[in-house]
Amino acid sequence: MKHLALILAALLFTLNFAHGESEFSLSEQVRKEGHLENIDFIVDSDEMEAMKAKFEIEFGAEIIDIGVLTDKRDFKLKYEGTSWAKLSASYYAKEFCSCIFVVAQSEKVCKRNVKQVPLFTGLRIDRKRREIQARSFFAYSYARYENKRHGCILVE
Amino acid sequence: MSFKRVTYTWFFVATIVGAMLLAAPVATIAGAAGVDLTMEGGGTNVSDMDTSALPQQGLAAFREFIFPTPRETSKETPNMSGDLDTRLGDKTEVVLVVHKGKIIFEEYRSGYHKDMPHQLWSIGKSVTNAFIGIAVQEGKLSLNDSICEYLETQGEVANTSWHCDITVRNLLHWSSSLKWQEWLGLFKLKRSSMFAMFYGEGRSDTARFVFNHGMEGPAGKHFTYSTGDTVLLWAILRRAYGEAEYETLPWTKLFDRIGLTDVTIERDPTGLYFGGSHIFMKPRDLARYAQFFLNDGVLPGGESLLPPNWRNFSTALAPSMIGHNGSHTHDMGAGAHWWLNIAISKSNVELPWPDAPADTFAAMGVFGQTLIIIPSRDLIIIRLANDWSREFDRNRLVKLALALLK
Repeated sequence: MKHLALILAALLFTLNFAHGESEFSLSEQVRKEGHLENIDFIVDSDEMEAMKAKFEIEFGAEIIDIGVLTDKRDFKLKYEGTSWAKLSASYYAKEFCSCIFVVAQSEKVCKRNVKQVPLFTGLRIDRKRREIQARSFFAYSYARYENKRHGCILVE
Repeated sequence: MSFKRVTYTWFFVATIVGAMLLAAPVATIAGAAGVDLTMEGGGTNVSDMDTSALPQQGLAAFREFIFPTPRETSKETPNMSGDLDTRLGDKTEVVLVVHKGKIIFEEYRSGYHKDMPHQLWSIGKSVTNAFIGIAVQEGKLSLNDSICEYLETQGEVANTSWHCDITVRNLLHWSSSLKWQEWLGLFKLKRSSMFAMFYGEGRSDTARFVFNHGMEGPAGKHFTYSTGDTVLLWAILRRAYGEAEYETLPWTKLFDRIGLTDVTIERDPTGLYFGGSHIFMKPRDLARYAQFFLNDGVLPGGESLLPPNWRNFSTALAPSMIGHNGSHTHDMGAGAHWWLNIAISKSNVELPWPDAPADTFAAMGVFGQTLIIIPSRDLIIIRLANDWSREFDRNRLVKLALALLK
C-alpha cells in the first residue's frame, strides 16, 4: 500500500511540475467575465486533459493521505471547504502578488518562490491594476495590491 | 500509462536533473558593511565602516558557509551550488550581522539589496510580541485577560467554557490549546489549519476561523505552534485599541518610533493584520527592531515602550513545554513568541545551538528565515532565505558569526 502511494506521489509530482511549466506554452486565451473582463487569462487548451489530471491529483492525494502519513502522526483536522486546486491558486495569487508588488522582485524569482506549493497551472499579471490572477485546473483566485502599508489582499 | 504521461515523467526528471547540472554562480549585489544602527530621535544615524577590522580568516569562513563557492565537478557539470534560481536546498538571500549596534557584515543575493523588503514570515510572530508588550505598557490589556474580553464567542466556542479560559499569556506561549495543525507539507494542504485560514475557508474572517476551533484540553496545558494564536493576538489588539487606532497602530506605536521605514503588514478582508506571517521589512529595519528588543524596548532618550523585564519574560520557557504529554511536542523550546537556546530534558528537547551562549534566542520563519539575538555578546544575526530544504545549520551560522568578533 505504501509503495503504491509513493508511486502515485511520484506521478502526482510529475504531473504538477509538468503543468507548472506549461504556463509558458499555453495556446489559448479566454476572457473572464465581471471585473476580470478586461484581462486576458491564459489557460490550457486541452480542458479534457486538465479534467483527467484534476481527478488523478485529487484521488492520488487522498491515497497518499491515507497510505503514507497517517501512520506517523494523528492528524485530527481536515478542512473540506476548499479544494486543493483552489488552495493552491489562492496561495499562488496572493503570494505572487506580494512578491511582485510589495517586494518588487523579478518574475523569475517570484515564480521560483511560489512553486514550493504545487498544482499551479497558469497566471496573469496586470501591472497597471496591480492584480494577479492564478489558475489551478478549474479553480481561479485573484489578489490585488492595496497600498504600501497593507500590501496585497486575496480578493477571491 | 499513456504516452503523454510518460512524457510528463521524463519532463519532470529532466527538469530536476537539468536544474542540478546547470546551476551557475550569482554575483554579490551589495556588500556594504559597518552601518551604525543607533536610533536617535526615532531616526537612524548612518555612517559607513569597513570590514578590515574583522579577522579575515573568520570572514572568509563565514562567507563560504552562507554563500558557498560553486564547486567544479566536471566539464559537463561546471558547478552545483551557485545558482539560486535553479538550486534546490538552502538559498540564502540576505545576511546581516550587527555587533554593538553596528553592521559588521551585510551581503545580498537573488536581486535583493539594502533598500528592498524581504518577507519575514514567522519572524513576524516575534515582532508581534512587542505590540502586546506595548499594549500592556499602555494599560490597554493585561497578560491574564481572558480572550473573551476581546472576542465574541460563537459557534463551537459557545459550547465550551474552556475557550474563555484562554488568556493573552497563553496565546503568547502558543499554549491556547486550540486544535491546530500548522504546516504539514505539500500533500497535506487540506489538513493544514494555516492554509485553510489564509487561503481556504477561513480567509474571509481569520480570527473567527481560529477561535471556532475546538480545544485539545484546558487552556495553557498544550503547546502547539500556531499562526492562529498570533492571529488572535492581533484580533485582541484591534479590540483593545479600537478600529480607528488599530489601522495605524503598527506605525504609530512602534515602527515610526524606532525608525523603521516602508514596513508592510498585510491584512484579511476584515482588516485584521497578519503580523505573524505576512510582514515585509528591509533587512536593516529588521536589525533595528532586533536592537530595540535587545535593548528591552528602551529608546535612546530613555523612554521604554515595553514593560519592565519584558525581554526576560519573553525569553523564559513557556510553562506548557515542561513535562507536557508529548502529543504536541516541538523540537525547540519556546518563550513568548520567541525561540530559545534551551534543552528540556522532560520533553526530550535537545539544546538546538550548542555553540551559542545560553542566553541566545531567536525568531524563525518558514523557508529558512532567521533572526538570532545574543544579548551577552550584543550580537544580532539575520539570515533571510528561500530554502527548499530544512537543513540549514543555524548552530554553525552562530558559531561562525561569533568567530567574527575575535
